Amino acid sequence: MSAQVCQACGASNEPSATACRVCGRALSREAAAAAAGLPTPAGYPSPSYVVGLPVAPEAVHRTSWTNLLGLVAALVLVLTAGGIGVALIAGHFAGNGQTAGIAGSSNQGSSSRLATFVPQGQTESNAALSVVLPPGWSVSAVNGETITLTDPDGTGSLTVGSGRSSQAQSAQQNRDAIDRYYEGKYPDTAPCPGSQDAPGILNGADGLFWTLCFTVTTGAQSFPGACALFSGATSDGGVYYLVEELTARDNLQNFVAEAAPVVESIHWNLS
Amino acid sequence: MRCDHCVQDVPDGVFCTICGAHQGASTEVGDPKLRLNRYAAHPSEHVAQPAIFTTLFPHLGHHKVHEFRWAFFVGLACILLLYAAGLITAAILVSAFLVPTLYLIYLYEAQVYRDEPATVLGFTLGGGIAIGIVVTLIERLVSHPFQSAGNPLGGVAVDVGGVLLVGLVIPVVEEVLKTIPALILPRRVAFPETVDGLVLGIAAGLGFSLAQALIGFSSVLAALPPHVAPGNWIFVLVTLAVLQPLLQGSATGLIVAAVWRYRRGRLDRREIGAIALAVIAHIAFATGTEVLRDAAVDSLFILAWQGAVVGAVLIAVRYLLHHSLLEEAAHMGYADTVCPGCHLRIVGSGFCPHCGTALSAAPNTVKRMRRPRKEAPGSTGRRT
Repeated sequence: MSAQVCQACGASNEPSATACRVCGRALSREAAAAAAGLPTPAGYPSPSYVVGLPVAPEAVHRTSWTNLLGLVAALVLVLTAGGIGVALIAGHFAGNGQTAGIAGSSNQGSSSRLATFVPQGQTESNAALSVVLPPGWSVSAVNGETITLTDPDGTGSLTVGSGRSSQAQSAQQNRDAIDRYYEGKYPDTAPCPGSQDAPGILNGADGLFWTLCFTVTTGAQSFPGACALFSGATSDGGVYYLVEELTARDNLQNFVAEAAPVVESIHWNLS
Repeated sequence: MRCDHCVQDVPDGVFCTICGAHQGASTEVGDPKLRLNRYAAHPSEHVAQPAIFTTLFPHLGHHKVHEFRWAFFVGLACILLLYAAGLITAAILVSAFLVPTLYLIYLYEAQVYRDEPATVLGFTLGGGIAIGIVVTLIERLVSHPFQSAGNPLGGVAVDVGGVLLVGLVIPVVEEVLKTIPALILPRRVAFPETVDGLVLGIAAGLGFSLAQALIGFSSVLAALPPHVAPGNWIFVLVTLAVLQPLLQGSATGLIVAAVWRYRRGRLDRREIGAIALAVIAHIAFATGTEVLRDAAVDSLFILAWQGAVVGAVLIAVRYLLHHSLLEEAAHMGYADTVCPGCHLRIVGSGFCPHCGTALSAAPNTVKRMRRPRKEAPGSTGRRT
């Protein structure tokens, strides 16, 4: 059978079409009826009244609501048990990880300054600070207040920052602002287990040392992370000092040790 | 009666059983033939309603949708309980599995796979899982989660390189690869309708989402103790349980449905726009999340952004499916059947004359029960 041509718009339609696919108008009634091969049920009673249906139709649905809820409940129970089991087994093999703070600084509250080991390497600086990079370390970002470095293995980053505070803030206030920043960025931010906050001095800057643990989510990937932090300020609160050592949670101790020479080379230009 | 729009003699009813047009309706609510206020798969809803279940589970009737909706809410309630109890590891696992499991039950309920469950499920869900494992592992290798902590005291800085990778490159690659399992399905001729392509694409996308969630959170699952302080884990769990699987499933379903339409000889602006919107929505979801997270914006706003993107994709899916059902159901012949929407035993063609449900979106068990009619009982057999 040849294609039907719509009398209104001239579009070509399938032989069995009853309405034009372009403009929607009905095609030739005779052609539509002939192509369908079925008589239109003129004078047919209400469609809800079906007579002569020999067999009651089968049930439409295959899954009862009890089975459906039961499957969901079973899923929850199995996965809850599985999740707890995974956590217990993984924790058993992980052992006790000690959380390290920023190395190369005095955590005892004294004003003494450690004898510093200045590594040989490239010096990176901005208006606020300078730092010496050991071989293998690279600079990933620099601006007027911040220098971000990456270790040779790419397992973590060291961010050093200093600048004029927009409003006078003590070291504690700076620390609170940093905590709020991390809590906003990583919803499960909390002090790392076993870590202790402590006042101290980092290369002449008075401040606070602490560590935070959280889950770093990027895209659909999530990683348990940790950050060893130092937040300092001048006595008038006009200048802030910041050091962040960010890495995987189980790598924090190693990363802090690896970054120690870099941290000890920090020279604050602002005071 | 004679249909107002296709001018065919059809059984009396509120809707024309051939073209689905709403009879006797004023134009105040729009074109009665286009019936945008009567979604073809669920006529009690508007096409532009971002409903989850009536969009992604189109074969479910009015009654069954409620049961699946309640099962979903029960699952969410369980996740909330696990979160409140501090069993975050368990909550992550339940979140990852909830929507894909419900969809697997739906595929069984609607028998979308016809008589080849192993092949269809293996290619769609299984293929999606396999591709998800490979892609997510590669993403973990190229991502640098500890690259920069930012300076919270020196002003917000967005990691442009990271945003481009996570927000642009990875979504495009994922959208291309996720559709492969559904597109290479053997014996696709057994699944000719656009609604079949949509459902198969959603299944592949949900398989991908499941693998992505498990691989992506593998480090966290191994590192978290059994019980932790709940904190703000709820935001992560909402994304994992609801928004991420909905995005992955609906975007893949939209692309595969558009390809199914192309194979039926339909490639208009609607189909091209559907594919473009799926990719753009995924980019917007990922980019917006990364930028807002780098800027330390409140997590509630991030969820709102993600929800808005998912809502837009759901509406796009409904538009494409609505138009395809209106076209494809119009070619069905008369038959004795049961309407999956209103559960009335009817004699109809493509649409239920009572509620307007497109009968081509019925479960396969209902389609098999159709008894074709050449002549209705009581009719004179006159041709008009």
